[in-house]
Amino acid sequence: MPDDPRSPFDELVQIRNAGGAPLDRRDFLKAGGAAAAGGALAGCRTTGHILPLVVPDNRYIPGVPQHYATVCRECPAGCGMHIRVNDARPTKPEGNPRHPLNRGKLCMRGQSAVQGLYNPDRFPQPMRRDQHGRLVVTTWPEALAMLQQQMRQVALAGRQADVVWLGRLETGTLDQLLRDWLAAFGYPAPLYYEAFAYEAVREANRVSFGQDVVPYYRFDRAKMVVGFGAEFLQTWVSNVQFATDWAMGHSYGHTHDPAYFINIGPRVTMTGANADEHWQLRPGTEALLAMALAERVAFHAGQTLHLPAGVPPGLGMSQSAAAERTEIPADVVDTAAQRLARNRPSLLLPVGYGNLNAAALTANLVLNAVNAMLGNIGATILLHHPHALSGAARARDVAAVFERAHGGQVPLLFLHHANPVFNFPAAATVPAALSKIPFIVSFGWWRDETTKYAHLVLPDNYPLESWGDYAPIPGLTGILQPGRRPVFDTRPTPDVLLWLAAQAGPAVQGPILHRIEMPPVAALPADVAPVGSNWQQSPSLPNPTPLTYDPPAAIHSFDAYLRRAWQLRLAPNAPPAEQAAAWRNLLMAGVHLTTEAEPAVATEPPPGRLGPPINETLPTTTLEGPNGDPPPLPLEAEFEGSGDFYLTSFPVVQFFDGRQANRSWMQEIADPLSKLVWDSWVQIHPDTGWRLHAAEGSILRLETPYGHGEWPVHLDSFIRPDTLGIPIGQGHRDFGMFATDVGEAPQRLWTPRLDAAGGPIPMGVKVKVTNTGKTRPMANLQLEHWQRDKRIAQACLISQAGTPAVRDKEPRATFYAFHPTPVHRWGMAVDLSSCIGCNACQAACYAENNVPVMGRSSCLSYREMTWLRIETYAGDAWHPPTTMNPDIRFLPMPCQQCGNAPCEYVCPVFAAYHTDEGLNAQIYNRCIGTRYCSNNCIYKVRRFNWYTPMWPKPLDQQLNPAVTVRSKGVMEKCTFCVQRIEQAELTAKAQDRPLRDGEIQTACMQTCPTEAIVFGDLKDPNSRVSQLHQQDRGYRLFWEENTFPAVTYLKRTKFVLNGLAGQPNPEPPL
Amino acid sequence: MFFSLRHLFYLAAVLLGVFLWIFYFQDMPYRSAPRQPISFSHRIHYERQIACIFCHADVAKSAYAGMPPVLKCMGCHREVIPYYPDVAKLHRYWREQKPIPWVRVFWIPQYVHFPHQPHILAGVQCGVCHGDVGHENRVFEVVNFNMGTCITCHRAYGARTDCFQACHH
Repeated sequence: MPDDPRSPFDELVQIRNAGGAPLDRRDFLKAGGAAAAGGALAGCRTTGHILPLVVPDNRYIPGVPQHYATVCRECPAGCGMHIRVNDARPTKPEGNPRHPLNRGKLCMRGQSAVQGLYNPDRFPQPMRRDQHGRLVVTTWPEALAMLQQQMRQVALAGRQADVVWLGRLETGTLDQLLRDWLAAFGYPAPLYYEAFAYEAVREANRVSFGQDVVPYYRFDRAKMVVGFGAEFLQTWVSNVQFATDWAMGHSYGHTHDPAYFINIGPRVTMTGANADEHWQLRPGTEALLAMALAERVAFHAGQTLHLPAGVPPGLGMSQSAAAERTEIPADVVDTAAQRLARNRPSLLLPVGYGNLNAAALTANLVLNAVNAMLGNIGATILLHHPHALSGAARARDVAAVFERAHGGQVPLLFLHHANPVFNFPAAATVPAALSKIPFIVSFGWWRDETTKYAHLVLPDNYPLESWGDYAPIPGLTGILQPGRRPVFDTRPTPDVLLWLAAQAGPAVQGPILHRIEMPPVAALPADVAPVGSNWQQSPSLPNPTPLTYDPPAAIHSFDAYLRRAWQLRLAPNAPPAEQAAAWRNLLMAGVHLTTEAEPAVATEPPPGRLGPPINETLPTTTLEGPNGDPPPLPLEAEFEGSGDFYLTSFPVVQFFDGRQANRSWMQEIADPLSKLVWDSWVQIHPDTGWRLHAAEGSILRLETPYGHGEWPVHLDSFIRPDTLGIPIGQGHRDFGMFATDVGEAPQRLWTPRLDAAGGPIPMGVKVKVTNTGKTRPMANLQLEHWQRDKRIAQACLISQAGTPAVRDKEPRATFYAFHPTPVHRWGMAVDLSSCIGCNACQAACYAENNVPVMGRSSCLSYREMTWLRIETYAGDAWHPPTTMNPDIRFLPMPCQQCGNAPCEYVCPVFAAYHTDEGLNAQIYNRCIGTRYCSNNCIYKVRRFNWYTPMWPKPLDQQLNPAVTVRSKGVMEKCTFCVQRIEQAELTAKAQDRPLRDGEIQTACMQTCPTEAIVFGDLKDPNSRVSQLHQQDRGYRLFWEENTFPAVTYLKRTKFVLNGLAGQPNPEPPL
Repeated sequence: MFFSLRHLFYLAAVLLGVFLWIFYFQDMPYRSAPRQPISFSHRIHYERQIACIFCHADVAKSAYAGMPPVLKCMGCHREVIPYYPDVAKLHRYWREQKPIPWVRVFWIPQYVHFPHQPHILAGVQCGVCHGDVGHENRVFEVVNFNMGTCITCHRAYGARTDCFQACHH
């Protein structure tokens, strides 16, 4: 690994920063692209052309953004999305408010969907492998002919049953089409590979309740949450929905009776940072602790615990002996058990991905029993509303494919957006298996570690260019529609499949089309077949030839297939006009909801709506191993290897399983806890660092029986001293310009073995550590996590939250006159009790405001350009953090829009000044770059363009036309999304009415999953933001400086604030 | 000789160019009218009493005034003088289903946000900025779009003059 991890993007940045010379040919070409992008944005006086539409479209007025309802496919959660389209360019994703899962919110990965669409590393056209093993461009007719030939050969050899479809999780119509298509060709059913397939959760539910499902969880109903490291606020199952629900039940801003949350694990995750208690469990003893907890809960509740067969019937030791093993004191467990017995319904979550070890399944089984005993099944855990993830293949099944491939038994492999080479443990030798497969065809969007082995690439349309549907739970289906015509010469994979079926003749095509009650139709030639139709309803400049479809011909496109399938479903016997209307209405809503899904997604159910808990009626089955023998269910996990350290590999909110790594926003938006960017790291406890003579940035060599690698150290005390933590998602070797060669993947260290549930064991090894003596600089965007009594992120006790006792001091009077704000004074309120630190607001700000990405070298000098940053603090001087109560506080820091702003007085050219609506303005074209304003800003929210910003093509198509693109030498800052303010004012004026409260939504407020951010008019005493400003918990940052900020923070609420040594620590109520 | 006569000539030419640019062309009240792909005459259409908004239909709804879709031109010219050479060009664009690449005449830099909609709603006549287009055969820039022009008008009509919130954001 290089000492300075530098992505290809960073090399590009270096060239630019150095002035562009000297260049070799390759660099010249790269820099040329950059210069072209820069030149287009430089604003030189050119005329250019105005292209009118050929045929007007009554849905589209040039210059007015449109919003299309679609589905976010960045992870399997399936949130509803509205994509804003500016003149045929999708520019900004926002949540679909009508979608009951995410209710208008998106996480940061969803916000980055446009960076996937315009990713510079997408395949521009079909690719094939030449005789030297390189991927070279080809044409669609050639590529399709190649595939047809291979399929014919497989059929001639009679090996159809050995063909494998390995794809990402699909549900709904595409799932149906895939199954029909594969069956029609005689291929086996598809394997949906997801790295996070929750095998241990599903297996436990199968054994306990007879249902092999990932259930739905209702966090808003839980009066207490206990998590064994489940990352439900970042990546786990459906994180946006869970974050919203969790805030409803836990945040003081939403409920005055917040739920108590205990997080358990060797390390504090972003989810754990929001916990009221954190138990630093010894890795491998999850089941032991679960059993100890279960025994105490059963005791306090006076109920009997029913454990499935195969699980040890009890602890087999005393509570105190168990406490010694788990290192969690028995009285702590007992207190939690008392709480659980009293607060019902509660929610005990299974073991999270980072903590999966051989005992995880046992722990999940015990937790299931506790959940059943407490009546949580049917109340907070909805087994009858399984998540779509229940349909994902287990890692065991996927590993079996590679086993067969090793033996040369897989003649043909279809890859559909799955990257097992990266996600599998390196020791599983997936590449060796892939190289034994004679023909691999990939439908990938871009080159990744698995697509690298493909012989043929037939690039798929990105979800934002595709038709489709996705059902995250039964009865709830989101509809995908394209926001534009394809950026590149790509074709939707289902179109390709339908075309192949048509070419294969009626015997193959018949059963597929029978599903939508259509007869087989004649095949079309390759160069005309699967193009066109999926653009029909997208805004397009200029319009293609008006397309008309008679239904039989339309069956060559998935668009028509989907429409037909839905029309049959929505209005089976209605006349065509009615069917078309039903389809149109469905597209506009973007979501189809039946009563089946309601209990899982209704936001505020009346109490008792679900009826009695259903746990009594659920059958219990016995545990079966892969061979029919019950596998051992240990209470304590064994670890492989002879090292001294446990390893926890944790998913992070920005990368999911690594699929979002090739996005500049995801790389440059700081990790919520470590605040590191453009890197991966090994998190160790400072004591461990002391022992290893390692400081921040020291490079450690980690070794397990299965592999080794080098990671730089990040010192952080919220991890056990005997455990190392490495984030998942970085360390790509072949994944585009932003991710390649950045960091190192922890999969290199993992055991290739699978657990009893058939899932991976990320925490199955012990690690030997040596200090290499090398160091490297760490790009850390927040160096100081201790507040040193600066009172930045404040907290208060829940018991006092609504009382004047928590009031902060008022600003002193000033004898200067305030700036007049005759009509509006824009302000914001940020509820720190709701903020979970998920960075969604920051990504939304990047997308909305054309915030440039500067690369690792600039971040090393703290020259990142983010307008809104999340600051993470651990306690404050009076309430220092402890491992039991880490007291981590997240504080979103936009420009405070001071009423008495230090930046304004020092600008020599009047570029920074106060507007008559109370904004601290920054006029880019007037700015001469003295940077006085930034020096004088006490919040450090002004950003200076040290270099010309760079959007490698076609990323520049994402830019929001309503916001000026800044250039080198210019200061920029948060404007409270002034373009949205102006647009709303204009709309109100055009409709001749006053502005409504809540009409203006800044990008950060719009996407915040927990609704922590509220924006509005402070001059209006009835506005929501004004009322929040009046709350007792409210305080303004650095009030003593008399800056009079327009942003009020509401103190984070805690059940317990850590006292100083010697002071009594208040006990939280049970 | 260190400087040849030719070098001197080049230098003089460059200096003259710079001089002309600074003192003449840059402050010229209008620029020459660019040649358009179809020699469309606003005058002829104006004389037939077709309102601006008939073709530039989005002006009250959007930031852009909007150019008429090719179909709209065809709406009349399918019948009206279809064999006139420039109308024949229009027919070719329509046959090929291609947009007409009109050359942009009126232009402001991207750090200025000028939406048409509020100006039209406030009753500003098109000619205030665009000149007497109805009497021009080929459109040219009459009003120099500099900040003074905008500010003068905004002040005169009591419109918003806040630099940041009105224009430069």
